[in-house]
Amino acid sequence: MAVYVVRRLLQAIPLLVGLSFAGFVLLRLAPGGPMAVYAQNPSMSEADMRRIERILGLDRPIHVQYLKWAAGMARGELGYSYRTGRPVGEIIRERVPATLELMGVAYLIAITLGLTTGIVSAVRRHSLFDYAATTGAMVGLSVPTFWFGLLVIIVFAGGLRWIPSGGIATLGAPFSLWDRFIHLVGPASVLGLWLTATWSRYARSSVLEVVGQDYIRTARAKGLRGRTVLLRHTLRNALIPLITLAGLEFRNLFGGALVTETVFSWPGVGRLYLDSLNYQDYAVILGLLLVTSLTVVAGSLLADIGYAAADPRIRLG
Amino acid sequence: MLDRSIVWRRFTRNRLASAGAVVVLILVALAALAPWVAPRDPLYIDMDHKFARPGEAGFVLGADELGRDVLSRLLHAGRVSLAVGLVTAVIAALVGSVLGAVAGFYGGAADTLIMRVVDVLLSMPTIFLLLALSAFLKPTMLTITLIIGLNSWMSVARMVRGQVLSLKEQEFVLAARAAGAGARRLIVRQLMPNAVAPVLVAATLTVATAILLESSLSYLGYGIQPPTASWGNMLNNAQTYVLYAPWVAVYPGAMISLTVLSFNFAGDGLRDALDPRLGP
Repeated sequence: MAVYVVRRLLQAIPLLVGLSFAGFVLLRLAPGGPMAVYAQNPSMSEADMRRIERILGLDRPIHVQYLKWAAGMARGELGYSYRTGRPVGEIIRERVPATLELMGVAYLIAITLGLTTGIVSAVRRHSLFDYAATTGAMVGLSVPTFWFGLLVIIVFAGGLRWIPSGGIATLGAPFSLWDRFIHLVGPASVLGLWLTATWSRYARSSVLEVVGQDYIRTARAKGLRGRTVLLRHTLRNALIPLITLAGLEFRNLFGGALVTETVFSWPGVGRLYLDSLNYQDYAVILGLLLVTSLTVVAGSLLADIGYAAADPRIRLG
Repeated sequence: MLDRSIVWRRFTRNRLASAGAVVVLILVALAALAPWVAPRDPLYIDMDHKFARPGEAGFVLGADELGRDVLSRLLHAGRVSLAVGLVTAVIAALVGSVLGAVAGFYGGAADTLIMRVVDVLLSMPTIFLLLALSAFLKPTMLTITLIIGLNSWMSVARMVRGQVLSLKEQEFVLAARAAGAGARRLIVRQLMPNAVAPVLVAATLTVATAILLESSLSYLGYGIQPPTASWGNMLNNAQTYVLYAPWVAVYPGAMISLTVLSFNFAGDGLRDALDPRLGP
């Protein structure tokens, strides 16, 4: 097991190098490059610009620049915001709790609801419930999140007035748990239901695959009760591969969160990303792109290790 | 490869898939005929009728914040959204097939390099990356199509690579090689024909995801730029008046959902119809 973990960690190294390289290239792609922010300042003379370039090391050969930049990244130095001058890490950290709250609750909704519908769908295959659930999941995957969010706002915030139309808490009001909860309901359900579609599809096909195996027929033939076969033989084997999905979904989770945060004016990292794009704050943009990508890499790493640990059938090495 | 008539029979027997294909055809026809079918000029601004309700003053589906006809804009936006989706799928299928075949056939350094690029792209959150690229490269219809296409080929590449790897040591390939076929001929004539079916399925499903991505980008303001209408950017400002003019937001989203759903159903049906393991 330890060998597998180390090997899997080593495999992630080229990925991290590739990611840092992609980030560096992207920064060069930004209009005007890293000096754009100074070029906008009319009081800057040509000599000032050259001096800043020298201080920032931008007059050095490109591979030296990359190595210095990557070394800084490895130490967790994400640079300073072009707009406010504050450290990028600090700016991102402020927004993480809101996004974590939204993603966590959405994930919880998706896993519970998705697994239940997927399992029931598979067990009662070709039933009315199965058709409704599979069609519903396909609809869930096809409806754009931002539009679904707007519909939720039209119906539940505009028409019924059950939930507020956006934000994380009522402005100026003292902290109350109910207030926070009622603000969370809209965005978390939108993001959660969207993810539910994927989970139920995976759960269904995973259960169906196991149901067709010989050992399930054997268990039935032994005269075991249907319940025992389902819980002890089918689900235990069918749900393990879904651990991998938990890791794979991180990438979509971030994208979905960005859109949902925009629709519901939720002050998380997704909003921060869009705001930074609007202000051309490239340092924050790249910092966020790298931090989210690293989270995706870490997520799939953890999922793979968890999968290997949970499934004794996997041969390691 | 399966017999065509069997594939056709299996596909048409699947009601959702057939419905999806029919809807796709209707949408493509409407988009192609938009200039002749649309009742008004989609760009004509008519401030006297801003936020006209559906059915009011001849605006079948209402008017938007500038008094432009929502129905005409929907029809014209369909051209943009469908074109981006279809071209993206072609790019993804081509790039994915070529890179996947090269990686699988040659192995070694080429394989390592291509698959590492796939890994890197698959670990960046798609929307984050697309937003940055679009902001840096000036969003036009061409750049939007290219950046979505160049972020959609990875699953095709993985699949084609797997297919090529599993087939390249088989006897029919070895026979062709012994008969003196070169690398390119082996890939194009012997190996790729076996990957056509899955690539076709993946391409159909890629149209769906590409339309979703384009609409999200346009909704966020980094996709197709106004005044050109796309289904996504018609929702661009909808947030501010969604509560008193909901029709401006409801119809474009419904079109995106219908289109994406149709492509998804058609793609799923195609996959089942082309699956040689299932019965006739």
